[in-house]
Amino acid sequence: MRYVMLFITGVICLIFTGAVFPNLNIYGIAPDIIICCITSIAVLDKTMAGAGLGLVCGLMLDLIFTGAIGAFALPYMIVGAALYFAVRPMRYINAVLTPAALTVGAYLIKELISTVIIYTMNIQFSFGHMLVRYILPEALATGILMLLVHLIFRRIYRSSAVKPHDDREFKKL
Amino acid sequence: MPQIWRNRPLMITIIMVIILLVVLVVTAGDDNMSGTESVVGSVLSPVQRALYSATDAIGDFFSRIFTGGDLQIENLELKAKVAELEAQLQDYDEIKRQNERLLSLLNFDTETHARTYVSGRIIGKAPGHWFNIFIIDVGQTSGVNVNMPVVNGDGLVGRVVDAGANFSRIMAIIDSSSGVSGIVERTRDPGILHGTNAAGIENGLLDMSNLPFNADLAPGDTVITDGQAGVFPKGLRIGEITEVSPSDDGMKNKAIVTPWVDFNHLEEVMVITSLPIDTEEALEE
Repeated sequence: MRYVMLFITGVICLIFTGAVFPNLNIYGIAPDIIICCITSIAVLDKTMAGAGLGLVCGLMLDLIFTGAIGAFALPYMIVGAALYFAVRPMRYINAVLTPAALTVGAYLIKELISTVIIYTMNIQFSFGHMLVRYILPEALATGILMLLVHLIFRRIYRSSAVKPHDDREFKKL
Repeated sequence: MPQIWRNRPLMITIIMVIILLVVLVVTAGDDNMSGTESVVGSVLSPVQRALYSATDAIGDFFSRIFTGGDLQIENLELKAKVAELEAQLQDYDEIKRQNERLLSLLNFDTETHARTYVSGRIIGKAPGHWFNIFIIDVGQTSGVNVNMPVVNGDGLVGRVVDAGANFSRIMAIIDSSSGVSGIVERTRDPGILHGTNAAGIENGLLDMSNLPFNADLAPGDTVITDGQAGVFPKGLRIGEITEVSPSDDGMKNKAIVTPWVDFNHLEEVMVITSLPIDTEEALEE
C-alpha cells in the first residue's frame, strides 16, 4: 500500500508539473508540487522516501522534457536527502508552519542547485533578475500550496498501511 | 572507520549525486532521443494530452474573468484592425497576381513554394523558468524529424529538438539556448536572435545582437528569418523590435524583439515537414 501511495504521488506530481501548472500559472509563477510532496513525506515519514520520490520524478521530467538526465533529478534528490537529514533530529514539528517553512527553504535550495547546473550548461542569465522575478515568488507560491498538500498527506498518513513497514529497514540505512 | 562512512543515507546520497553528475555531463549536449526517453514519452503523451487540454480550458476561463473589463476596448481595436487588414488584403491580392504573372514569365515552377505542414497540439511544457521546451502530440510516425521548423499562425515558434514515435520536443525561440538568424524586414540588417534571462528583459522576449552599428532601426520594425542557418526557411515572421540600444562594447547595435507568437497561450502549432526548393536554386536550375 505504501508503494502504491508513493507511485500515485509520483504520477500526480508529474501530471501537475508538466500539464496542469503550465496552464494555470499567474504571470509565469507556478508552485512546485514535487517539492511540496517531498517535504511532506520527509516530515511525516522521516525516511529517505522523499529523496527517492524526488529522484524518480526528476528523472521522468528529464526524460520527457530536457533530455539532459540529471537537470531536474539532481536538485530534487539533493533536496529530498537534505530534508531527511534536517527533519530526522527534530522532536517537535508544527503541523502547519514548520512544513511550510521547510518547503520554502527546500525550494530555494533546489533553485540554487538548478542555477549552478544551468550555469555549467553555458546558458546566460542574470541571477538577480531570476531571483526577484521568479524564484522568490515561486518559493512563496510553493509554501502556500504546501498548506494544502500537507493537509492531504497528514490524512493519508493516518493509515498505518502507508507508514514504513519495518522501521529497522530504514534504521539500517 | 570514520563516522561519516557509517552514515549510509549520506553515502547513498553522495554516490547518487556523483552518478547523476556524470550522466548529466554525458547527456547534456546529446540531441538524440534515447530509447528510454522515447518509451516514457510515448506512454505519457496521451495522459498529458488529455490533462493539458482540460487545464487549458480552466486557464482560459480564469483568463477571461481577469480580462473581462478590457473586452469592449479589445473588440473596438480588433474591428479597426480588421478594416485595416481588409484594405491590405486587396493590395496583397493584386501583388500576388502580379507575382504569379512575373513567375510565369520567368518559367518558374510555383510548386516550389509549396510547404507541407503537420499540425500538432501542445501537450506539455517544461516546468520551471529555465527551459522553454514544449511537447507536441505528433512525432516520427507523422513525418516529424529533428531540426524541422515549427510555426503557428502568428509566426515562428521554434524547432524540433527531439522526435519520438508519437510526440516531439520543441525548443521555443525564446529559450536561452536557442539561436535564430534573422533580418530586419525594412532595412535588411542582419542579426542573431536568442532567448534571454538577462536583467531588465522580461522572459519571453528576444535579444537581437550583432546588428550593424549604422543600422537604421526603429521600434515597430518587423524581424523575419533570413534562411542563412539552414534550419529555418527565409521569411518566417519572428517578432517586432521594441527597443534599440548600442551593444555593451559600443561597436554594434542590439535590439529587444517581442515575438509575434504568444508563448503563454500556445495551443496548436505546425511543423514544416518539407521546405520549398530555394528560389535562387530553382532559378539557377
